[in-house]
Amino acid sequence: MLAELHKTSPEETKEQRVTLGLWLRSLREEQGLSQRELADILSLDYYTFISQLENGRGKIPTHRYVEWANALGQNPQDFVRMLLKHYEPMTYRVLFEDEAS
Amino acid sequence: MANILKFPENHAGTKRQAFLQDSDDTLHFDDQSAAGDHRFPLPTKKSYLEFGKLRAKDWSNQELANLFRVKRLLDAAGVPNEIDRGITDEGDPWFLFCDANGDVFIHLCRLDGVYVLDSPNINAPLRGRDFNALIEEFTARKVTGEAATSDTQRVVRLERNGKVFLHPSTMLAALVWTLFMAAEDLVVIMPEEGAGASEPDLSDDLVPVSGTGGQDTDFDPLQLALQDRGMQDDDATPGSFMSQNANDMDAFNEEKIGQNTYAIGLSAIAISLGFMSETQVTDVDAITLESILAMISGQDNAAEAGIGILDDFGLVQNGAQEFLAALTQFFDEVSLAARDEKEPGALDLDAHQGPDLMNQVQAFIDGIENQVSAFLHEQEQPRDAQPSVEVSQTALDTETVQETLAEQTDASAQETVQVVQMLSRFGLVDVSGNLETNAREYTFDNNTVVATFDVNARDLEKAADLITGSLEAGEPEQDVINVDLGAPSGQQNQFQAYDDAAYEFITFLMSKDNDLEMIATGNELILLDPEVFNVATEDTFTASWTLENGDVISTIGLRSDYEAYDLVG
Repeated sequence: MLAELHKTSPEETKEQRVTLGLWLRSLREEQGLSQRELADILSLDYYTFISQLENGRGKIPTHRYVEWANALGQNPQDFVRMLLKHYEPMTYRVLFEDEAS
Repeated sequence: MANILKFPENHAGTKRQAFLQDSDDTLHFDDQSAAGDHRFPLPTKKSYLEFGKLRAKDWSNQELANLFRVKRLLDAAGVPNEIDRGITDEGDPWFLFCDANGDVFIHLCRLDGVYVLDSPNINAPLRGRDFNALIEEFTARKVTGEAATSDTQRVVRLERNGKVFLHPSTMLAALVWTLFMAAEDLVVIMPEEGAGASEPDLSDDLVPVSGTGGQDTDFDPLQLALQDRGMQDDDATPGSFMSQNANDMDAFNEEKIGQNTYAIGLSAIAISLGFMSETQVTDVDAITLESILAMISGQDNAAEAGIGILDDFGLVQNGAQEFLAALTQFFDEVSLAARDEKEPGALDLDAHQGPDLMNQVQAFIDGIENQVSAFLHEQEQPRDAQPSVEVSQTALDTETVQETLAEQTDASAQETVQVVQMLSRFGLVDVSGNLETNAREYTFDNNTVVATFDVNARDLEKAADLITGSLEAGEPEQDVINVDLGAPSGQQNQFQAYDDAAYEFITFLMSKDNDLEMIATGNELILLDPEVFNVATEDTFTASWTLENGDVISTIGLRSDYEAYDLVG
């Protein structure tokens, strides 16, 4: 039942973010972009935010998902699904794992 | 049976670690069907030389010492936090303060020598060449923002010629603390220290819930701050302050109260620096224990609050000294923390930070002590005479304070005139209009000088050197700038005739954003760019010019400024 789902522990959350950070880095490098170039495309105030994310800290703001997907050459739906898998694993399981099985 | 991993055979001629660099190695996500078949290579390999170049831009030991000190202060204040740091692919460093859940709350980085600090609580990142500049920008925004939103709210700050001088990391901690907390949240913190005191004026949404709450009574102001902003996860933390019964506060043990001393200390610093304020104090000099407490308590008007505010906090008479003792303890522990600090990556920190910090702390405490003593002195007479009439008593106190302020203002005005007269001799009156020449007279080693800052209270061996010309060996070069106008130390000491070039340069100094400090002694006027306190000795420079009548004007500033005016010979 949904009400009995436990919140992920900080350790699990960190592990998920680190995994996602590695994935984001791989996408950027596939595009041949430096961290600064990606930050410029996304009009970020400071490009160290890219490094922060790639090191598994913080989250991409929800309202910028599509811009990130485009900058990294990804289909927005697949991209957001991947983000959801790591940001909200519980939600992801409920939404997509039943569908897959 | 489980699969057995086979490592490639180590053929002759291959490097010993070649098997670690197999380009075919890829990492796979377990469920690749969800987002396509994502494969990504291992991070790009970098040579030791490249790593060396990247690491060269990383945080210095001094920066890390300051940042770890901030963390220690936050820990001591009961703010659950964790830190992380890293460098970008170009080597620019970043440093994070995260909440208990690992969510980033402060992102600090250094890009091309400029610090950038961002937080969910500010609209745009703060930028500055040092921590002080970050703090000044934050304070400036508060002033601008609040002036735009309300005429009744003011931010009080101690100006550069005030008497409070703190270590940059202490001020940064106060800034981070402010960003963790909203100003209005402070009213929830205070009752813990004054357990049993009357409740301060809480806004509706901050009144503690009167349920039984959780059993865990850990003080967690950050949870409160995040909860208030909707940043908290849905499942509320039982230990958050909001879920505690207000009556349970008496049950807080000594450890919790001890921790809260830091919270009060940081709050007091934050208020005195102008980070947060809900009240209006008409004059910087009028900042007293009373006004700080009034601001912390959220009272609308510090003057109207009067001495009753001490009663609210249970700080009647001797209580004021208790508060002072708490502050003293806070700063003592800060000093000890600085000396005991053995954080990873900062093992070889400068040993002189402890004593230097203690000097600054002592100056701060001395300032507070003076204010408390003056306040208690003013308070005693009216209390004895009319102990039961609080309204008139408050009025009396206000009058006394106003009279004292008026006297101080008159004295300051006279001494300011001396400085202005000196300026006029050099034809600088017209350009001195934008300066705050709140000069006072100080006696310094039997020399009487008029200065725009307290040459006694400030940890200014620099000022001592200025006036006495003495140099002491072994002083920390980062924090003390030895300036000797009379000794050949590689700086320009020959007094040239005061000319147009000198006038132009001094006009430029006066037009800089920071408040130029001035010292007048005998026939000499010394102009001091406060920026010199933030840079290394080799980045400073002095120059002096003389008039035909023997008057001397000296300047101490950044070497780069002198170079720009071609004054470095």
